[in-house]
Amino acid sequence: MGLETILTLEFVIFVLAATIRIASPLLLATIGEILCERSGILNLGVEGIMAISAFTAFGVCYYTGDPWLGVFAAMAGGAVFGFIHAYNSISLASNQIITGIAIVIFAQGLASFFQRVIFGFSVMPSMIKGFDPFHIPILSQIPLLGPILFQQSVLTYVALISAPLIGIMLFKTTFGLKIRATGDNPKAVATVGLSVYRIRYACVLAGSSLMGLAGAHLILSVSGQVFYEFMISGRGWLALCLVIFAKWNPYKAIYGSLLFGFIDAFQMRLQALGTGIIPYQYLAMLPYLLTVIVLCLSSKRGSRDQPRALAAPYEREG
Amino acid sequence: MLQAKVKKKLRLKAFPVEKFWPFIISVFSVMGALGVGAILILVAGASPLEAYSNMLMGSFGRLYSFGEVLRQATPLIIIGCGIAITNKCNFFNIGAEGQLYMGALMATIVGLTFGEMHSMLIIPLLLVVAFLGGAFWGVIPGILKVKLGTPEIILTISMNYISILFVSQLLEGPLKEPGAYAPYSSPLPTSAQLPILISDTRIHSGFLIAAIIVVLSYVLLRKTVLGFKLKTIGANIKVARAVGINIQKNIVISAIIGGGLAGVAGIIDILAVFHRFPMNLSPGYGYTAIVVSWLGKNNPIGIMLASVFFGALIVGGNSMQRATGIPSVLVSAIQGLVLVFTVTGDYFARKGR
Repeated sequence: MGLETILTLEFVIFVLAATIRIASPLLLATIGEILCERSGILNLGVEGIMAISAFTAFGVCYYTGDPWLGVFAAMAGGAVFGFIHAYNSISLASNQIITGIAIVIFAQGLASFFQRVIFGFSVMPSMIKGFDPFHIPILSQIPLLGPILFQQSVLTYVALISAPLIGIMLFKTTFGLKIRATGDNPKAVATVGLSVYRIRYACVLAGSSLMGLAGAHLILSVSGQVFYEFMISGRGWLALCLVIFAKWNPYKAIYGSLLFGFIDAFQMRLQALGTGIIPYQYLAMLPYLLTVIVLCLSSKRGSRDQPRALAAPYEREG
Repeated sequence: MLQAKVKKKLRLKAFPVEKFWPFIISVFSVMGALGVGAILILVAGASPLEAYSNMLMGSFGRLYSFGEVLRQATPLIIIGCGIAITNKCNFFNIGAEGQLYMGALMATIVGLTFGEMHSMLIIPLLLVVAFLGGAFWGVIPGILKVKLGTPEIILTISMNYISILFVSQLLEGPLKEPGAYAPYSSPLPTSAQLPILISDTRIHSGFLIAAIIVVLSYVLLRKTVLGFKLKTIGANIKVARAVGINIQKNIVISAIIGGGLAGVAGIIDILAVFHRFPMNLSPGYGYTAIVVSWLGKNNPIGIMLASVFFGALIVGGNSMQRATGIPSVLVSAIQGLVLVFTVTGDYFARKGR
């Protein structure tokens, strides 16, 4: 056991394919959060929204047999919880941190509750038919790149496409400009006659739907998936870290999610193989360490990409 | 305005509704959350009345259960007071969980190293070490915030994971009890055990320590200069600067206290309940304490009440699950919902002024 196991082609292909598979739900959640934060709303509820959406997707798919219905139900569920956060943060201008944490606790509790009530503690865990890996014709036959890039679940491709789309929307369209302006200086936006509330609501609802999609992706991406408690296991918080790491930029989020996904895939495989080079915990720590480093480097002296009005309660005047 | 209306309606001219308004909001939030919980219980196919009465009897019915409630409340009280102190100067410490682990880790290492010592020596020693360990983990984000302007929310969350992973590796490696199946540490010396307060229960003297911390925190916040400085920084940082308060130093001090208290909570659970460091030392106390401190309005007495309430929910929930089959996780949902309603209700409290 040791370096020989790692330097095999099989290991490399496995880890790289797993990287994309792990990165894509993270990417979706991150993009969703970027959308929220760009408009000035800090949505700490990601972990909870992903949990309840994953469960919703699982439940709907189980009872209808249609994974796409599960996807849409999950996105709707995400929007519902996003609305709770939006209402409190925008209309009531309350403390966004507390609201976010409350939603995490509530949504997680709800997900676990429904999971136990509906599916119970059975010996045979309920399974669903999710999305089988979708082999893109011709491209998936390419020797190395094929298994890595072109044999992923449909939702992975959705994730990889939506990130640049959101990026284009944010940086190249008028609406994107309005969003960014709202995140930096809502007063100025209001002066121009735009509705800060409406822009923020749109972003939070859309962002939360994306988080819901992320949750659905997690559970549906492989056929025969089982829903287990705490299956989100910190990926929601990781998405929050990734937003910082990517400096609120959807394009950088792609790279960041691949990096974090790679680290995760690598350490999971190491853990499974029992290779004793480095204890897997130190690898698992890396994304968080990287986040801390990025946070320290983007100090008040340096150029901060953070939306200047982030998490500041905004009350309409007049 | 709203409060004036309520006063008029109830014909209470002199009654200071304003002071009790936050308390009233909390009560209504709890009732609202329990109401939604009742709907969920109905959906699950059971009777809310039966479920809730089981909860009530389960937490307050017997002395042992009430002991469990206080035992569950103890770490929440301690951490909650720490969070209240950091909240006062707007340092939002989400990292209590990681600070708890770090403090407990340091104290465990010291405890395992020093072996048998007299109780009066080793227990205070371990408490101090735990405080220092937690304070160390808490002061890092504090310093980063004041020196570099680093936003502490994501920073403290990241540090939680770093701390917990670090502890996990140690528990699976160097600290692991030789020959154990699961990752936990060797047991701490028997002299380092917090005694049970009331026989036939599991209430331990940690609860006394928690009570002392409540008093100390209350005095700190209400009566000392430090408390005043922290509150000024939180209320209006420009005024604080104008009055000559050293903002950086005081925020760092609050971070030290907050982190230290979290560490203390961690080691108390070890000294009193587990007697060794288990992998799952904390079922999210660091996060629940944030909820508790908000519910308690950053007032140590309120925090104590809120913690006992949450403890009752947890213990009652387990009892409810045993009796009616309703999953005890419902309690988590109710806890979160109470907070959501409290935040919503706070709005009306503000508008009603």
